[in-house]
Amino acid sequence: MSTKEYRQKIAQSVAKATRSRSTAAQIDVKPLRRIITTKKAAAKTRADALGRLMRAEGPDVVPETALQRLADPKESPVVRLAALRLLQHKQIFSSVAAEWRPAYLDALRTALDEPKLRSAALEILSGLKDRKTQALLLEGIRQPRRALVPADQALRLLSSDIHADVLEAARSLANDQQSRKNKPVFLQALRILASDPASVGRLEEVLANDSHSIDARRLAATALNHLSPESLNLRTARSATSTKAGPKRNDALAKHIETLQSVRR
Amino acid sequence: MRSPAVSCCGKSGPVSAEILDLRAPEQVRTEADLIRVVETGRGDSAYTETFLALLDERHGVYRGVGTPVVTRMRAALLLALAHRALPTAALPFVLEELETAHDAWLTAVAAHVLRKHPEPLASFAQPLLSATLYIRHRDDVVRLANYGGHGPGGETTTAMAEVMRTIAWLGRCGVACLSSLEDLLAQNPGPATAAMAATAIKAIREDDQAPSAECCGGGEALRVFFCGAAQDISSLRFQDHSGAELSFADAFHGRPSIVVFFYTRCDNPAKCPLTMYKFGRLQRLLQDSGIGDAIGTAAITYDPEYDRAGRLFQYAHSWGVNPSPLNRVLRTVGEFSALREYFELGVNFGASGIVNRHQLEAYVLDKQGHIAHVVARRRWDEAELVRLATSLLGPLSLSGPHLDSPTAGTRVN
Repeated sequence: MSTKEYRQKIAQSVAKATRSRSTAAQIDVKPLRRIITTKKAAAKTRADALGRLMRAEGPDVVPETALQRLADPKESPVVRLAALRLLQHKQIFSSVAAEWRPAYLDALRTALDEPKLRSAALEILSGLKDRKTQALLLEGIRQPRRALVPADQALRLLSSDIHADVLEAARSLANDQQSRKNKPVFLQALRILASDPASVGRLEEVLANDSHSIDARRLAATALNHLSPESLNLRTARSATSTKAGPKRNDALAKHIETLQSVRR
Repeated sequence: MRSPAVSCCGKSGPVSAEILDLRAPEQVRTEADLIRVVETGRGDSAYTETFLALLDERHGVYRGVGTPVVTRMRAALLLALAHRALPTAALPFVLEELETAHDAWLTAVAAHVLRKHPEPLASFAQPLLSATLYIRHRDDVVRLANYGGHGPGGETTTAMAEVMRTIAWLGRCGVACLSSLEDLLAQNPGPATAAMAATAIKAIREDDQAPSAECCGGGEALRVFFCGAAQDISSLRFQDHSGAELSFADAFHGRPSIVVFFYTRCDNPAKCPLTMYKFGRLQRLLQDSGIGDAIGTAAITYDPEYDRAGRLFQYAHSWGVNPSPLNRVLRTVGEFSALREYFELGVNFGASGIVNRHQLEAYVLDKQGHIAHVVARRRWDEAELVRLATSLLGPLSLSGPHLDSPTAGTRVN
């Protein structure tokens, strides 16, 4: 596409957005609000109305209705999920997003109690490094019967915040024989240990041990390259790839280590 | 303040069974101990010293716990200190939280307790403005009556609301906030924020109370004499940004130096990233003043295991620092604890070894590497550090920037 064509395309999309915004501004929002609050109406219809209302309100208005729907535990999960998605989108584009952030977070926390919303709410709250959510996830790793999500997912969600006490959890899972048999958990734990200088020995052991999966050993190599590049020297690489794991797997690992080293150079 | 069940303190085991001397800060070892002390001593001035001692980042109660626990404990201590009236000795801790606002709960608490100070002061204005800048996009619902700021029940507020209320409480002492509040209003921040800003502006403009002596003078924060640490760490080993190894004596003997601390994994933009940005400006100021060769600078990491040479260089460079033999970015390869003791660093670490809390701190060392001046618990000013370092140059300083001749070592909190 030429620069001229690209510019024309951008101009067209801006014009389209402006048109739809001015059309949205003319929409009477009262009937939409009525539909949303009429609980006898089908959940899908109400969710659609909520979407139209948000569009009509535009990005510079605090989305009170959506916040209320999301925070209401008696509301239909379909409507709440729609509210969650719409609010997630609006957080990016709203010029007043900072103002309704506290209410948004509080509403998302109430959504954790609803299984149909939990996963989406956890993703957002973890991304925002919400301490209460982090505490719940850690509690679930320590006491699986109370867990909101499986341990590997909890580790993934916690991994975005190094100050969330996740290193300790990852260390203990990587050392626990039972957890090591759970491949997704072990891989997530290794991924987190890539930011733990105290785990260099553990990572070296994983890299050198051909009883671990190729995925685990590749992760260990990547982690070592990040934490202690000198640990990933020629000797370690050679011993890691001269195991009984089979030529195909050894080749794959050797290639991975070679790539890491060439990027470093 | 409603306290949690002990099981949610992140510490196993019940509240210490042995009898705790509640006023002896060294006896406080766990979050549960701290909760007991706070519940017993809040509102009692006999506990003020205990609470202040417990706010020191080096205290053992912060060792081995996560950042969330540290945050809860510090907020509880601030609330306890200000249960009746906030003592002036607690101001550096409160203003530091506002100036480096990062956690909505702690910021809300700091802003709330500041209103318990016997009188508003003009020096509160800048930290409060800083808080509006940093916390606005990280705000959250908090419940001041609940330990940790969450939990069911209790009246809700937000960090922004508390900060704005405190700016309004400043009255005429908040005059320095006016233009920033007007700028905020002009940005159309949303109806609630706009209403709070308008209320604060009105309160500042309409306050006809005669300000106290310090109020409009923007008084200096506390200034305490500091006796340099006695231990010798001349042989302590470091590695610099280029991978070269050197001793403390190699790095800091022979010329005055300015030393700041940071770590690359710090997630508070008002702390380490800002420190490094200002470190770059400090470097340029020294060069522009023509004393770049006479005064050394160094930024040392709190996290030497993770912050390896390449990472130090990259991080410093990304914040505008130009590392060189006179402007080093360093990590200890010897005992970090020796360095921590020498500088009395306000830092502590979680069980995983990662920094769980640190204060802002900058040091000026003399030609023998002894600590001459400390600026701690508030954002340091490049020109102020240069002035302090220049005073240590001796006769050369006559050509350097003007100095208000502090002859003895100082610690500025």
